[in-house]
Amino acid sequence: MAPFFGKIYSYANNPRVQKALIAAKYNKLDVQESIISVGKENTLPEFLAKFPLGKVPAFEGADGFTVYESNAIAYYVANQEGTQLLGKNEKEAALVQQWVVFADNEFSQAAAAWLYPIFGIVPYNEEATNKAKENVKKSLTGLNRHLANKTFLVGERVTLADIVLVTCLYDFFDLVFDPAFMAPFKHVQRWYVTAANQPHFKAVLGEVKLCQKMKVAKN
Amino acid sequence: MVFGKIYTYPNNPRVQKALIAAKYNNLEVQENIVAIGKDNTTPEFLAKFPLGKVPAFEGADGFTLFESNAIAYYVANKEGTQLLGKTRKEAALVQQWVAFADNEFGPTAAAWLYPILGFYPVNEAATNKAKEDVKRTLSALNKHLATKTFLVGERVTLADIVLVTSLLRFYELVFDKSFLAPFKNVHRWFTTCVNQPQFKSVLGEVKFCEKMRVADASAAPKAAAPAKEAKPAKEAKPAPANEDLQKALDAEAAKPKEKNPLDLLPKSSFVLDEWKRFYSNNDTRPTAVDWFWNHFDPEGYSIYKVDYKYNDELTLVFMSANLIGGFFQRLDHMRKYLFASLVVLGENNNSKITGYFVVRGSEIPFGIQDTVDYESYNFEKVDPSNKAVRERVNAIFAWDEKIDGVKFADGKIFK
Repeated sequence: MAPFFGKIYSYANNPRVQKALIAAKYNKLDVQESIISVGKENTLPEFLAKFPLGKVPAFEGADGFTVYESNAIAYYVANQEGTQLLGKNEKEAALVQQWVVFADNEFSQAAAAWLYPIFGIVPYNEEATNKAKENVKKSLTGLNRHLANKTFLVGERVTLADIVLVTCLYDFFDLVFDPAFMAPFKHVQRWYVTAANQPHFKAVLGEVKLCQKMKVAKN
Repeated sequence: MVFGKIYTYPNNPRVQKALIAAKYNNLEVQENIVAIGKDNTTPEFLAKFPLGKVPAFEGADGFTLFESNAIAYYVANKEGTQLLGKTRKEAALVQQWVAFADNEFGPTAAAWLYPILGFYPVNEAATNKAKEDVKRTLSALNKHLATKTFLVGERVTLADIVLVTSLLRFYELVFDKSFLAPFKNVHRWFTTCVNQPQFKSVLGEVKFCEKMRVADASAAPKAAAPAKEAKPAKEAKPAPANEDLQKALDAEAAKPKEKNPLDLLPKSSFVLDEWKRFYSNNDTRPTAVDWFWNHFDPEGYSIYKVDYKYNDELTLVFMSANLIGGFFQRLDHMRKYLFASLVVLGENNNSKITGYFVVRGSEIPFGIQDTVDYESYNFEKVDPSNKAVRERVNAIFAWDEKIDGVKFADGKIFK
């Protein structure tokens, strides 16, 4: 067993934690989740002393080092001696950053408008959902173009870029990316299946779930 | 030697962080101003940047990159630099503050500052909530900075650069003395940073806000603005921000849809969509403008010279550009009937807004007169057969470097 590296405070099943957990697998680090009740434990003085904003996910290392913001946690876990998760050189390192930011900017808002109504978190709004769909299509078109002759996003191997984007797209593939919708985005589909089937991804995410028929929100 | 250039629209705060990092690393990075909606949709641009997004970086060696934080990271990440921290822990903390800047001050800027800039309609509840969020964030930041000069370690890092550029507009527009009184450490840190020569050479003298500006409720409609930039809050608190997003989206969906009387006009040989595509995909001078005059149909369309009535009230160029952006946003429903180019000429505190509208029909359609902005502009129908008129129209379509003898500063195309 790898030595204990640190724990991540979070609510249960937080996709923003999974990226750090997958990176930990690649780097053979023991990173544990510490499930807390958000709105309660993260407002306690002890918690705020470590994490002034009280936000989760929040990382606390075995050595007492603390860091928050999910991408920063994933970056810290990824950034170990000998790793290639952050790219092999300065250019690849920059491209990894690019795709990490891309994942957030292109898919977070779309997830809110398209997927949250399906989860029942926000009311269904047809126009907003349609707009999100169009935006997702646009982003996937760009991504598909990029992946036409590549196995992974940056360089020849899995990097943090793949990890972050896969975790970001996980719910989309699970709920709405059915074969008809994905037909124009074959390279994206191939890349996703390849990445999500890597043992270290599976160890955290479980079996890859590919939606067969697009789910819609109950009106 | 040039290290690379960044394609962007003018005065983009998301570019400044890379420019400051470049100063620290003694790299020459240039801005390359492009016409958004035009230059970034050409096949050449998309070949380099598949998403067509700006800012976008192209290195002297051909290396390409988009997303402003990735560009800043690349420029920062040079041999011997300390901008990304001295150790792995510091490197992670730099990432933390970069994400913090986006997540804490991105959505709040949209809710609090965009209405002041005329991007968004006034929404008092959203603004008040953003103010409270900003106060809470500043309290935490203030605590962190109580014993520190810079955010991470003992020296300026990319964290300081990114957070300063994120806060710049807040400082210029709303962070007055009384608002900042409880956040003395933040203010001390900000002042220290912007006075570093590398910051100064990019940002110039920062103008601290004397009195908190408020949005002018009469300048924008209360409801219905696209919610494009309203990002859901990330990390642990998705619910409240999504409500806001949802409200904005609902408001947008609630816009009435009616048959436009312009659809009843006799068919025109000038196809507006075709013109918009041609304009987007070709050099404006001479290709596109020649096409325009060869195809323009004065029976089916008219051209108006449009001038802002209150030019002497204009201040910063980017705010004038935002004023145009807000106007165009509120004209979104006219997309089928309108092409427009409005430009800002001059410089900060001495500028004017002028341009042309190409509209369906022989009168100014109700859909334009009905916007709150209409009253602020002078509309004068021009004679498209007049050579001088045509030449000025060309200059405005092409964003010539000098128009009416004044330097072009910024512009927006409605298409």
